[in-house]
Amino acid sequence: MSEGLFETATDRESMERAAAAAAPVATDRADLAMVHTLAPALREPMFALLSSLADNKYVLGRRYAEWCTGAPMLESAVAAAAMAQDELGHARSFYPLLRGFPGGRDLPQMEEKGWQQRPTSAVRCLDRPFAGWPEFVAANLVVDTALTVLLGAATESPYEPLRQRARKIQQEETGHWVHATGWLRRLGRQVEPALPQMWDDAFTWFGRPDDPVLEPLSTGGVLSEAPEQLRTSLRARLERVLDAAHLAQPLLARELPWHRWAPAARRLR
Amino acid sequence: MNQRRVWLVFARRRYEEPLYQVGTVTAEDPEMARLFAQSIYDEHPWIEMVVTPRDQTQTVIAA
Repeated sequence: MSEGLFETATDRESMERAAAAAAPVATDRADLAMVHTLAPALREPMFALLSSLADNKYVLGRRYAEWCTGAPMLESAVAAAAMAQDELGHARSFYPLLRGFPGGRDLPQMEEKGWQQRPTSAVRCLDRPFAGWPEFVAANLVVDTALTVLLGAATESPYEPLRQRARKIQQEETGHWVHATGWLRRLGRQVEPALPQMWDDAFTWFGRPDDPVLEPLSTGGVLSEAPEQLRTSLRARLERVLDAAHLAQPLLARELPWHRWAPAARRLR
Repeated sequence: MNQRRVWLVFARRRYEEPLYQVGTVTAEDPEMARLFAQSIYDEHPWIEMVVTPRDQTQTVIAA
């Protein structure tokens, strides 16, 4: 190959990354075996958490991808594509872990035909494409950040596969926050109509205080925060930027619609 | 609403080479300019990338 031609493809690190992404490797098998480092009572909650994280990131990534050509600026169209790739990549890093759990052995594999059409369970506001760019920004701000806040509670987790992914994803999500807050400053009140539903979806996603998934994981030390603490963390993160946009008060006083919460699906009806 | 600015994007791939202009982005603030530059000009594993507002440049020799 002549020098300069496809030069990035000759980069050893890139080649190794591509090879690692293309096929399951020893690390994956080691990750699967790590299930046994979890106390038996925590395996089912961890399976439920990983399933929900993976599905939410997968569907959010697809929703972002729908704006790769429709964003109001070329720069944000490219950013939407990059964020879609990030979210889909995060989902792809979680799905294989499910195979290590009893409930995940018979799940369809990502490589199988029809996998993309399988049923998923993500938060309600992602059920349909965003109606406009302000909805994109609202999801970018509230839903994406809720997932990041949860992963922030896993960066010191003793369950290594989650800890490793949480740390890497936290770094990548920094750009998503910059994008969301930059657009919030710019659009201001235009984002307001999209916020209440996304707020409800994101804040209920952590479950009630006695949530059968997150409560045992936090009590068992796998996550550093329980549902109420996660809500406090998310609220603290959003409050400052929403306040600056004069959008905080109606949201902060909002009652969460727990009567519509479906715990098994981890979403509102 | 803030005013949109054009930012010049400079980058380099190796320590022994100087920064050179790889393009521009349009953004209202430095944070967004950095984010857009990083996502648009990601064709190489750069070792350094900087953005600077185009309206802050000074012409020495006009084209």
